[in-house]
Amino acid sequence: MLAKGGAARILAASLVVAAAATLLVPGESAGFVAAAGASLAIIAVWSTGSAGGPPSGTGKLRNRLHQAIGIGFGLSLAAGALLAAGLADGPGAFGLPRSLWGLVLGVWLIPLVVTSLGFAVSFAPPTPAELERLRARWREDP
Amino acid sequence: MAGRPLIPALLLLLTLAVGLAAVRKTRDSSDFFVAGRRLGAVRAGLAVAASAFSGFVFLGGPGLTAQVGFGSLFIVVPAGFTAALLCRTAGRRLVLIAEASGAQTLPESIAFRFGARAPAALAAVAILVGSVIYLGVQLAALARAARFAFPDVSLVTCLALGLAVVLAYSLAGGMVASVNTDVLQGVVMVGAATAAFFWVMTEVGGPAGVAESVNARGLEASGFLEPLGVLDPATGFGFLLLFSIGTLGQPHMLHKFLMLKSPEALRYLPAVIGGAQGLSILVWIGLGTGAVLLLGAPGNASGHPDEAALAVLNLPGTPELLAGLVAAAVLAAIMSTSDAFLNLGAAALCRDLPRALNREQFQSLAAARLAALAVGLAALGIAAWHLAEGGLIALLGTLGFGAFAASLAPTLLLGLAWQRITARAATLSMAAGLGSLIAFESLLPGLPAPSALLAMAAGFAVLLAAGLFSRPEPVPEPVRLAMTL
Repeated sequence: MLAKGGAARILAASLVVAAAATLLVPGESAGFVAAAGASLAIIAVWSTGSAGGPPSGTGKLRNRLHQAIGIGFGLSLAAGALLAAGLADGPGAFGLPRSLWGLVLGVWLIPLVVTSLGFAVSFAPPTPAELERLRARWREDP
Repeated sequence: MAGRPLIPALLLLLTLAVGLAAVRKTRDSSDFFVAGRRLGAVRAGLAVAASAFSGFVFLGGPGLTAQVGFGSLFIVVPAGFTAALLCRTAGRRLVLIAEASGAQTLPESIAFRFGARAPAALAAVAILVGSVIYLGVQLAALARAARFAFPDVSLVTCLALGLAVVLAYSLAGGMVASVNTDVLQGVVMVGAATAAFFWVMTEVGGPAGVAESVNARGLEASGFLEPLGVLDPATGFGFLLLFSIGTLGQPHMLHKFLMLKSPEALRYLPAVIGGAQGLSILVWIGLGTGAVLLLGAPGNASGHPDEAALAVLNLPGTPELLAGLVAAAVLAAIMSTSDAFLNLGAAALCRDLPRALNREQFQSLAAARLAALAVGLAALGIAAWHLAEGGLIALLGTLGFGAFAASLAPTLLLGLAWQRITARAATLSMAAGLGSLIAFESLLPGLPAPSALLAMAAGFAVLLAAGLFSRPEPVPEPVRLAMTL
């Protein structure tokens, strides 16, 4: 479920950063706006767990982990997208462009590891009792 | 020279055997459409990865890389996080909806969430349209792959043979056959992609050799290695955005969530999907690089860009075993996606649309099989048109992906999570997304950003506007629980 004000937070953050990106880098505005908007929307959805906060009943440690995954993922994605857009042009490791490394590491491989492992650790499935309550309610009111 | 035809032929026979073995396990519509809801994380993960990565990735991707350089990676790098995003958002809700209501298709899940027929009907239409386009992509890729795998057999025979194998096991064994063969095909795809990548890297001297070769050939100026070297920012980041968010609307991936045996199976699903997809992407990079550095300059690597990947394996000194394995993997990628779309299209045609229109459903297995055959024949028409036009597989694939992204992603991302979204908002959003895509494609060619991205944005905008400005409707208790647990 979307938390109170969740949609507004996503929209406001996306609009502010997209506008800032347009003002700062007018020549490349289309790409930056898209990158910023995409990053923010995904980060917002991710870090707040479907924009509704962590699943109910999760502990404090798991909530912290949940937030850390969102922040780590968001930072990696934003840094990778900016490098791919040519923020720090020039050759990097093995003579390949930094922009390519930004795309491969920042947008693909680091998020792959962080999100996969993070999800496995922080995932809190409904308990058997909760699932039974769900099925029972459906049987009563299909 | 025996490996090239032998390994693909072996895979076809093995696929047929695994698929037909599933016939015994297909007793009712639950088996046919959701594999009896018995999947754990590994089987489901491999099935999702195999059906998501198709001829689009194994032929279209390297072909696109040969055309536009490493900017093509904007399409596939979102696979790093989309698996977890799927599980965190729409996937979790779908598992709970299936737990509560026993929904067997996406339109049924949408009908459960909104308690109305209209959004389910539009979802079924979108799935039917997208399935035919996507299946057409696979058949076009099959024709191109057949030229390589069986050079002594005519193209028409290869196309008929491949389609016959997919139809045979899909029609007979439904989703049980589809999932079991997906697992086999996924393993072949991962193995072949990894082997092809390391072989090409060895041939070109590793990453440092790639940079040196590009400089030596004077390709540096063309921007082959730069993500935005050939593509403009709006197109590159447009693809990134489309394939990030749009994945949340892909029914061939989401449908697998309805087959999970329990929500606990979600825990390791992102790791399995992400790992399998991550290794499969190596074929995109490896053969795309090989097409340019081992064969020639971008754009003229072979007769047709979509055959560039396989042309690399025609080079003297290429191990026959590798050539055969990659050819088998291309066929595996095509078949694993084709069977998913045959079943999805069949379900939309004989189950979801009649139900949404309040008509009698065609519940029998025979009706499902007939519907799958009709979808297959319609896709054959799309493939024939595409081959005659000589277009790129990646572009038609993007259109198929875009049809699902524009129509379904907004509703499945926000509609399943936010109680304010009403049935009317979901219906309007799906109509706006699909309608915009058709309008952009037919009336406004040459838009600065991918048309599917703009159509998806239209779908999101309509959903948010209709959700915010319409009167909230009460959400029944079981639906509220499925959305919040």
